[in-house]
Amino acid sequence: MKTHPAVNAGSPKRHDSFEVAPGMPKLCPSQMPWSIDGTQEGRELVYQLLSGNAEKTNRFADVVVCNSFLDAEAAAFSHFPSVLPIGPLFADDGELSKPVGQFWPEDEASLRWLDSQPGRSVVYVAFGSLAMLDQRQVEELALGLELTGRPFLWVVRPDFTTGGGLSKAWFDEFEGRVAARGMVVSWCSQQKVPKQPALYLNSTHHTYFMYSSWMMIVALTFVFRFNCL
Amino acid sequence: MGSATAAPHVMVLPFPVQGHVTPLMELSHRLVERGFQVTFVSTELIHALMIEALQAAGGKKLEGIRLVSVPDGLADGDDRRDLGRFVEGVSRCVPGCLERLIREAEAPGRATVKWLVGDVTMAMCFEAASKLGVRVAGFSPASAACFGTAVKAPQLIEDGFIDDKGMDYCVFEYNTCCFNSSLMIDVLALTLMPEPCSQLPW
Repeated sequence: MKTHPAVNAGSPKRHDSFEVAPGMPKLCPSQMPWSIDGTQEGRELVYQLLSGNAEKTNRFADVVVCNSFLDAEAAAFSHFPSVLPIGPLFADDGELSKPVGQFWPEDEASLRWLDSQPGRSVVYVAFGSLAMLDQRQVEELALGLELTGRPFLWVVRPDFTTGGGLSKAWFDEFEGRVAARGMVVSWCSQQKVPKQPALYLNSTHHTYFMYSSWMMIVALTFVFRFNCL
Repeated sequence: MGSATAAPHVMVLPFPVQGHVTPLMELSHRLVERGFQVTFVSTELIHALMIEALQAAGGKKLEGIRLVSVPDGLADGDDRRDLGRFVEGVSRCVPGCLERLIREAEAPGRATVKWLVGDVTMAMCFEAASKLGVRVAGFSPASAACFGTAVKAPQLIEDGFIDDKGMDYCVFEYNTCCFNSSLMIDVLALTLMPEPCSQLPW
């Protein structure tokens, strides 16, 4: 039986980057899908959930399908040939006429606002249904969006922050500063928004990432083409 | 029905949150278009919200898709935003309920479940289906890279990049500083990169 090296939580680990598979982008350990949640406990929980589910899927599933497509991540599909791309699932306009189990109210104003923005200009930031950030993370993200100088559409769910530390006055002031080019909504259409020409680099494809989003980067990738998540 | 002419029966199981229900409902429509009958399994609260939203939208019908609900293992007033508690409840409760639904579909006059299309976030239910002879398709609503990274976790632990809690030293020591600095670099990089989607798995 193979023994794992002694693990001591908090002990120095390697700081260099690695590739999950050849050809995939290099990552550092702090960029793991479970590294987003606001608290250490939260990250550990998400790690246990994701790694445990991956193990159970490998054991019991006959096949794994993914709401993604080959061109978006050829290296990943090459390295995990048992994972089949079937996305993006909302690419067919005909689908939009069918109910998709939408139960959270969508902010229709975001679509009108996107219509008024220049083509390929808007940074779309969303974190899916579950991710929560603490006060400092929300503030850093807000300031980062302000610093980019680009128009942005940011989905901030009512339960988006942990700990109650985020000051409403601070956030209101932020919204006031960026009002001319930023829009903050509580939820918007996962189907319609990624199709908007105003999205930065949104081209003829739409991303599937809209649904994922344990991670910041996933969410930010929304911005492009496809769309959790 | 159980006859050879009945539409093959697929059970679809999302993780019960909005961003996972939506893509699996989209997939369910595709399955129906291709001749399957779908039973869409949600937890009771999500089921009720979906029914309510369908009624509010003028009684729209989900053709070929039957909505059913199972308990999520939590009490009425429990905080479902507490992910640990929520996953614990779902893990304890839903596999058994799913097994019951699959067995019920074996009754005379019903269509036996051939496949479970299950969100990989609900993989705690896969064994229950598998042992009843139902084939399982895991569905990842996120990128292949995201799922693949989770698959690779044991290797990353062995190679010393993360510990057995998924953490790296940097995150332990500097916590949000590290998170924030890497995030901001990503934000700036993403806003500058011409074709970033091909370079970032998430």
